[in-house]
Amino acid sequence: MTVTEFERLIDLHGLDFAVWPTTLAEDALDLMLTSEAAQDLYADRCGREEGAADPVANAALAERIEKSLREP
Amino acid sequence: MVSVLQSFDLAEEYSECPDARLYELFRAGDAAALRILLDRHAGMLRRMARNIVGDEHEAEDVVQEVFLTLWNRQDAWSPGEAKFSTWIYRVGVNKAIDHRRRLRARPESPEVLTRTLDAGQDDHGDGEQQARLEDDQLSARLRASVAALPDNQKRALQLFYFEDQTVEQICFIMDATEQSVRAFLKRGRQALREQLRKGKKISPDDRHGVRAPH
Repeated sequence: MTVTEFERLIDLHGLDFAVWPTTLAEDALDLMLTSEAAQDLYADRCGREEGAADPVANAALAERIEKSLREP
Repeated sequence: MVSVLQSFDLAEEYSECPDARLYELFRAGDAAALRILLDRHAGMLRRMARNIVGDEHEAEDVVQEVFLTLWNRQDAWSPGEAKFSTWIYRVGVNKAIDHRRRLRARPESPEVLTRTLDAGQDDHGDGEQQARLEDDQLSARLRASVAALPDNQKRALQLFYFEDQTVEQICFIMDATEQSVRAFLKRGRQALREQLRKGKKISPDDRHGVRAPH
């Protein structure tokens, strides 16, 4: 799969790999593991999705991380 | 290198700091810098991870792994490379894919079970459906999940997957039309995927389409 094909598939199926045909999803994930261009494309598309900030989730996550880093 | 995070009373000044500076402060042990970085980037990482691993809770684990990587790796990022945001999202993508594949490799994982369902979803029972449940653990797990479904969906899936019946045979056994049986199988698989993925209760009994007793 090329990055161009990957982009076309994102346009076709969206960003959620749960709804992609399984084989194509795995091919796309393999591409992203080896291609920074594919990673950046995917991140860029995810960034265009609307997403409200979640301060509660972020605070909880910060506490878990801080706790992990305090543990011996 | 500082080995623990500490809280400094400088959070108000950090909101204007560039990511590079916050990263240095975080690596130096500043908890406030971590929180600002999370506010800026965790949402995006969460969305990406959720799209890749397919589960909100697993996505949170991925985001946590990303920030622990920021902390633990000495050579994680330097200002001369890509932008910090570009770099952290690349790490997020890689972590999410690894996480997804680890989850799928577990024999008891919902993904393995739904793949088993998908393998039979064309309803072309050839008498080998049971054989495709490759190991006892997988079969037991699927049986337990099917048992929780509404009666008609449960019966249709049990006959198809565990008794190797064809659709035509199931129609005869359940005294139902072919259209109904196919609908029971389809809805049952959908309900199982949803159940396995999100752990939700199944909707009320599906009684549509069964022929009236005569």
